[in-house]
Amino acid sequence: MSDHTMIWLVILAGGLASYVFRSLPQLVLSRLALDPGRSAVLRFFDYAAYAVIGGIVASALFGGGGDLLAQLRSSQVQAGLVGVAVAFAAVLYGRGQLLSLALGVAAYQLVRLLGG
Amino acid sequence: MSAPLQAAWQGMRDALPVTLTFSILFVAVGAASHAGGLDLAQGLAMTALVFAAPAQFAAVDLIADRAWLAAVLAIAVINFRFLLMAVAISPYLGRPPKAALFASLQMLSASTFATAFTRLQSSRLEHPFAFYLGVCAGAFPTALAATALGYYVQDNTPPWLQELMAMLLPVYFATFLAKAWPRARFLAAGVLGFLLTPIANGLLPGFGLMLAALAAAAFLLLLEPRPCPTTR
Repeated sequence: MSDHTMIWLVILAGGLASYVFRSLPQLVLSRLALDPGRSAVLRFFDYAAYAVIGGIVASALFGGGGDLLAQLRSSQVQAGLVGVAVAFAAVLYGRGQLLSLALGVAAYQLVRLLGG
Repeated sequence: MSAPLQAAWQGMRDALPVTLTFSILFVAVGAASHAGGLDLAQGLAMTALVFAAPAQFAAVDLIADRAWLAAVLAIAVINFRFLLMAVAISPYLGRPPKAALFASLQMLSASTFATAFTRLQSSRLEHPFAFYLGVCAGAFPTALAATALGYYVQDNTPPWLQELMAMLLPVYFATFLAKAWPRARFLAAGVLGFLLTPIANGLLPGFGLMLAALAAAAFLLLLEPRPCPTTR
C-alpha cells in the first residue's frame, strides 16, 4: 500500500479509537439513573475531572516524563510556572478567563525576557 | 432569542478563550502536519476525527517516520483520557436526542470539556446540552480553520512564537483549574492532579494523567465526611 493510503488508515483508525473513548461512557451511563451531587460514583468522577485538568497543566509544562528535577531547573519551565501561577491567581481575584490568560502569558514573557 | 439558543450563545461566549487558544495551537498542528507529509485533506481529517493537538503532534511525528502502527497507538494512548472526561461530563448533559448527543461527542476535547464541565458542574443550566453545543461551535470550526491556515505558514513561525505556543496550554488550563474556587475539594483535586501526574507519568508513561486522576479522586472521596449512622 502507498504511504498516502497508510496515512489515511492511521487517521481513520486513530479517529475511531478516539471516538470510542468519547462515546463509550455515554452508552453505559445513559442506562444508569445517577443524581449529580448525590451519587458517590459521580462525585468520584467530578474529582477525577478536576484532577485531569490539573494533570493537563503539569503535562503541558513538564512534558510526558523524564527527569522532573532537571525540568524544574529549566528557565522555560520556571517562567511557565510563573505564568500558570499568575493566571491562576487572576481568576481567583475575579478577573475574566481571557484577561487572566493574557496576564499569565504576559508574566511568562516578562520572566523570559528578564531571565535572558 | 429562545432559551436553548441563549444557552448556546452563552457556551460560545464561554468558549472565547478556547477559540483564541485553538487559533494559535492548531496553526502549529497544521504546520506540523504539512511538515510530516500529510496533504491538506489528511490534515483536516485528522483534526476533525482525532481532535486533540497533543495526539496529532505525536502521530504526525511517527507518520513522518512511516511508523504507522505506532502512530495509531500514540493517538489511542493519548486520547484514552477522553474516557474519563466523557464519564465526568455525561451526567451533566441532560437527555438530548441520542443522534445529536453521539454526533456532538466527537467534539469533546480537553478544552471543550474543561469549558463545559466547569460551568455545568458549578451551575445547573436549564439547557446544558445547548450550552455544550455552543462551546463546541466556538471551538471545532476554529480548529479546522487554523489547521488549514497552518499549511500556509509552515516554517514561518518564529522560535519565540513556537515557545509561546508551548506555554499557552498550561497557562490556559490553569485558568480552568482556578474556576473550581471556592469549592476547596475540587480545587484540591486539581492541585493533586498537577502534583501527581508528572510522578505517575514517570511510572507509567502515557497513562500518568489517568492514573493520577483516579488516585486523586479516590483519595478525596475517602476524605469526605461520612453521614452519621441513624439510630434505631
